[in-house]
Amino acid sequence: MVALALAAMLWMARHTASYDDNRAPFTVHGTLGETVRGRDFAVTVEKVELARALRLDAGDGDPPRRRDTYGVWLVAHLRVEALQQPLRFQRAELHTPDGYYYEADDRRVDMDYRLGGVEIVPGLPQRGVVAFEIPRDKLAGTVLEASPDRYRIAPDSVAVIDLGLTRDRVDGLLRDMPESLLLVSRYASR
Amino acid sequence: MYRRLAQHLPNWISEHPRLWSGIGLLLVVGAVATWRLGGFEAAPPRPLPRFGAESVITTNEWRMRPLKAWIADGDSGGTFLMVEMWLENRTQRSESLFVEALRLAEPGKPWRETKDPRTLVLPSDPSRGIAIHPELPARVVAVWPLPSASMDHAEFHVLNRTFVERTALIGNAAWARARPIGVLDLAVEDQRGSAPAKESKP
Repeated sequence: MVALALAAMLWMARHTASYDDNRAPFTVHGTLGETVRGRDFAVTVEKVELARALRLDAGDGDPPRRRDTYGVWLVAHLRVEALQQPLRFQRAELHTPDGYYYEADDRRVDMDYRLGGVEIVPGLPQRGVVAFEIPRDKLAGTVLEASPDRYRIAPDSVAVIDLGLTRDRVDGLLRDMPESLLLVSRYASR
Repeated sequence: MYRRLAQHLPNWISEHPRLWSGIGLLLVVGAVATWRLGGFEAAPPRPLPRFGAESVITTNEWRMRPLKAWIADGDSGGTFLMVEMWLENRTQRSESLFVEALRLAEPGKPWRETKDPRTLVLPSDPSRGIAIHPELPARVVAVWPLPSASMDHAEFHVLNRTFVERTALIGNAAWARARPIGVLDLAVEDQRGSAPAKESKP
């Protein structure tokens, strides 16, 4: 009896959902150009660009600051809508077919230039960019995962968006990518 | 008394009392001699491998190649120990926390009580911390507040962590069980008084 009980406990310990599984988000899927709706937000990836470097123009008259990378910069242009309550769009990762995750850069590309730096209220969608550093050989088949929640702890919904990065498209983007891409601060005087 | 004891012993012992007494006496003498010679004391810990500048140090999470170390003044005050290195993220996720990997050794303190670097910055842009992405090695500078007035060399505990699918406490997946696997020893150059290093936000 004791042995049976121990065996049952061991089986339960190994086959019940883990902490991470219990807190996993709801995933909703979509493609480039399509509006993907989670429970409290909607996101559209409108365009994807590659570049060897970024130049950040604060609009203050100083020369743009340069951000180089050992891989390539992938810049995704997004439109995000809050469906229920104000939110900050804070989490975006590239997920490669071989299981790697590349977080959007929120340190070298600061808040003035990217979408995560602004509060989005219901009824007023916002457009902006998120930028990622990624090795060239990881681009093909990569999808973008996005949610308003900053940390991986219990996001409610995550949008998983196919960026259309087939091998041929990646080769074309790499061949045609500019030496640098200019990002202008949303607070730059026009 | 012995006869009473002998009644409870198996025949093959009770029939050869002197033999077994002799064996017992030898065992006691051997145990006492081993104790006196220190045979029951804990074995001294094996010395950990030592690394220097340009060594490649590989842990489960990181591959590091330390280049140089120096002391510099922070632009908002304070003095800092800086270690420049090539750093590669061997995990499958971007990581902005460089913890339980390299800790500045302090005399008299066990490794668990020593400190991780306050931040990692790029040499070209030390104004802010950075994330290290998988398979994108980066040349970075690790920054520690300087514990003493000056130093001409510094030692660091090199730590390795293991990925645990389910931790014991709450059952999540995490890097844990840090343990030292080596010691990094670097000569330290004093660059105080030259152009101040910009202290990054933690």
